[in-house]
Amino acid sequence: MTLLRKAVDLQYSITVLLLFLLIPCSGTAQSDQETSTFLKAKRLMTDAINTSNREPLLQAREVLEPFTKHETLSALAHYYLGYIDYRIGVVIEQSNRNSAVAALDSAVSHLEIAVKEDESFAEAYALLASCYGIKIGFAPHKGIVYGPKSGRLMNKAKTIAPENPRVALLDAIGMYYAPTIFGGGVDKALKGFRRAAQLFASWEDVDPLQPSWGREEVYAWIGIAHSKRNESILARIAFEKALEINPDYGWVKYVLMPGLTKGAKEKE
Amino acid sequence: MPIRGWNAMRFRLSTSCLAILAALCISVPSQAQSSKGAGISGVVTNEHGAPLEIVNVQLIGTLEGSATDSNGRFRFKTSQTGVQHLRASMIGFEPTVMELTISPGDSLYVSIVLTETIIMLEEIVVTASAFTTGDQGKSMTFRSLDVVTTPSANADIARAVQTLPGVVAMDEGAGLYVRGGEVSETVMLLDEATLAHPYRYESPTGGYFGTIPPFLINGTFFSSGGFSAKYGNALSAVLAMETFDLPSSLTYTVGVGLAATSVAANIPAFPDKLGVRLSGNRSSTGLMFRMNGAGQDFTLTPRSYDGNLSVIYKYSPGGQLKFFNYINTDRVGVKVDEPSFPGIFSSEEVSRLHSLSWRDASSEWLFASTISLSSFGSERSLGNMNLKPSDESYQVRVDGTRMFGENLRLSIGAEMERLENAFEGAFPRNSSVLDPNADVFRLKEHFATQRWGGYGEVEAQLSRKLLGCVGTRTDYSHEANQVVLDPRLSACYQFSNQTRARLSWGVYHQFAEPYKLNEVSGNPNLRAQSAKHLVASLEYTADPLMVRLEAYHKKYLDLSLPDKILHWTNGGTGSAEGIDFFLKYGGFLQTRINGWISYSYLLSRRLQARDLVDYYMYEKAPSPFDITHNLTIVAKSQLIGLLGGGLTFRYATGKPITPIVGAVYRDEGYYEPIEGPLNSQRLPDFIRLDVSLSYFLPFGTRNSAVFYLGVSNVLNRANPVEYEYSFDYSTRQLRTTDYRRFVYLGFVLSFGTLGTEI
Repeated sequence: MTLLRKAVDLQYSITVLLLFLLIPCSGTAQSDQETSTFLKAKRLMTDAINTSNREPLLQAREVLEPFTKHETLSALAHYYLGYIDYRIGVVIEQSNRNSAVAALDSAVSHLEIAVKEDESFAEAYALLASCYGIKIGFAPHKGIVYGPKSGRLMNKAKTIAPENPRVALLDAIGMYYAPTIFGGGVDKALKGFRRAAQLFASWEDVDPLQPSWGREEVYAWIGIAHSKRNESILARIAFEKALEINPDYGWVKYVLMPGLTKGAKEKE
Repeated sequence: MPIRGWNAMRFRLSTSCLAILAALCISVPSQAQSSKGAGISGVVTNEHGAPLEIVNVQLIGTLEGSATDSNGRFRFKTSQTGVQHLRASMIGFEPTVMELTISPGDSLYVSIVLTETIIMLEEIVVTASAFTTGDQGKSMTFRSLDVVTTPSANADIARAVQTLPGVVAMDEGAGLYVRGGEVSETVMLLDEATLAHPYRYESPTGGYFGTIPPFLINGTFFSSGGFSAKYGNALSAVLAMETFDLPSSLTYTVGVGLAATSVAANIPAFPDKLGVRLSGNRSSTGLMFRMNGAGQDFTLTPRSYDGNLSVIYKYSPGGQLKFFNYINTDRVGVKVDEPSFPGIFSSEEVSRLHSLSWRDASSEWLFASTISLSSFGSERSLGNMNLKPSDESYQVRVDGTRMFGENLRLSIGAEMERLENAFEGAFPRNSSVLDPNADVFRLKEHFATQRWGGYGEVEAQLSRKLLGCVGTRTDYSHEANQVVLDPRLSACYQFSNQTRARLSWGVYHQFAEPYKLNEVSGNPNLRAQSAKHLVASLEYTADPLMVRLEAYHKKYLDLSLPDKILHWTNGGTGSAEGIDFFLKYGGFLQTRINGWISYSYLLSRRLQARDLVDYYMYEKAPSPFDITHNLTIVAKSQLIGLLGGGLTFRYATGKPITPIVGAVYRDEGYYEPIEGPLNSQRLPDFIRLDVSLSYFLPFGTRNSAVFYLGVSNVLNRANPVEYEYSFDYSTRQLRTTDYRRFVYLGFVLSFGTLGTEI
């Protein structure tokens, strides 16, 4: 695992260096270059998230930050910066409360700007809703404030883009963590994850600059929900499906799948 | 790790699209197979024989299994031998476990039938007309916050219950008149102990507030009819309240309002072992009335004190003792213009409740027991009346519940209650004539009754969709020397997890108050009043929506009826029919807009006594509680940020009144009224709109402040109270409420309460 991480770090360092070399270029190809840089940053970020590695995420953030002043890509840049902070808060810093909360606060700031700049940005509304939902987990006393806010933002996202699979996925994740009395629960969430998977199946990512994450993650969540229902076979099938989509998906490969096997052995 | 290109990603995704769900249906070979392994195959269907896809079929404790395909078929190999348990599960269906004996080389074929998940006995109220509040359980109608935040309820439980269907608004008070029944026909319980006097500032229609403050209450059960055999000595309805258990964290609350200040503390002295709950409340309405330009009729504005001390000891994970103590005093003085006498009514009341309750769920039985003392003392004077009535209620109650499997629940219980009424002072001979010179009885009486009761009830899941409840209770009154037997039946049929129908039937008895059984002014032969309820209900629940429609018929027999010679007889009869509609959407903090609509249609008639001075004429007429249409709309919303708002609109047909058609002059210098046809006229309709605003401000990590502003009767409508007659009853004029547009504001500071279970 250490070797893998070092290799990934090295690879990111090289990529980031290349990206920095590309950014100052000017001339007629600026727009294409920007798009290319943005795309590479996006890919860098996505792959970094796959490995749950903090440093590449921070590097990706550095690459994306200049785009926050971009005329047309600003909202998207804020979205991705929010997404990076969201991942840092949820996965990487989950055991360090203060860092996680700080990351989520930063995510909220970026996503608030994203939806302000693009009022029809459904995925940003959904991610923002999810951030508020997770903040309740860190500070239950703020549930009275963040709960309704999260619900309103998610409803707005669903109204704008009812068929968007990432909106459906984030909504289902919210249901997974919400108490039954507030309309949550594993069964409801599982239905939501399955719907999101169906939506992904018919969803085509037309614009490569737009968000494209979640295709493998939805199966990770389906597996988690099945695992919670003691349905290890379906959980394993779902995890395998996630790995089929993304063989390097670290969360499933190194955490969820081994956990399933370990759980079964413990029960034996 | 390779960085893949966009096209590669697209290719992989497009191919996977075709197999998204199919992927979940493929068989998975077991991880640990051996050449001598056994093969297990089969089919999974629903109860109608249709194949089920994506069913998890797995040997428990292993990762060996398979998922079903589109034909419901599965197949896998296993290295396990001997007795194994095969579990099949799918969302929306009940999991099934099958025992298999596997030998090496076996090829086993199994057929598995999964049944659709249906809400089970544990999670459903079988009886009709039930409304529950609380924060636990799946059958809750309201959460506690829904009740507390109801505009018009003034954070009063009885007033919040008034917004439910079947409960009619007779006036501005908190009295619970349920489905054509009198206020005394609704029994109120606290931790299963009967509250001798459940209202503060008592009035002929109950009182203006419930005795028990809402912040002491963890959950409530309200039934407007057809309730179970657990509850006795109540003709119409039950409101059972349960106080908080052991506090989980240290919290303090300070409340300051225009008319009241309160403090409360919850102290876990030994976490999960011993806790104390303390509270005190002082209300003085003078400032509030002055600010609202009202209250001129008060010679002493309403004021009260109350205090609570509860000690809760959890002696084992399933066992708990709770010692609850509550005392309340209130005083009021008000100008009253009676035809025979303009004077001042003054009242001072003291209520106490002490109860020791025990609950133990350590064994297969859940036992609960309560020993309680509820007392009430008062001093009231007006004109020729000067009374010091006092009541005491001693009660011992034991309840036991046990589940037999998942489909049968047995409940048994017994109770003993001793009621004492004491009267001292002067009481007008004619209750309508309060002139200081009018005849009075001089009283110094003490009456007591004892009642023993017992019940048994079985709730059973008769089939997957049908639940039944059969119970019976018996009560014996020593003074009435009567045994009554009350069979009660309920059934609930679940068309689906969203739709269910209920049917409840039962016989209900309520013994007369002790004073009615005395030999001087009562009738020692007075028997229990009785009622038969029949309720049919249809309910649809799809979170966050709930709709319920109920129709009922209630037949009264042996009602207490005044008599010129015997004082009281059991000659009264009556009936009540109606339809209740209830629609609820969302919940506090669950949806942006939430609230409910209650509508009740009621037709209630009773045989009643018409006072013609020298004798009574008995007429079947609309009952005094015959409010034909009763509509309540409660709507709440989070307006901007942390600012919330709500409104309650209430409409009720004017209450029936009996006109005075003449008067007889008495030598003592006053007129005695002659009643016209009973309840042949109505007061104008009752309409009221209340609004409230609240601002929630969290501070620190676990503290909060709530600032609130309420405006009652926003429309400033002069709702009718009664007709006032001239001294000789020749003319009358409508008296309207003193509670016109009314502003109330305040704040509550809570320390340590956020994010914790208080």
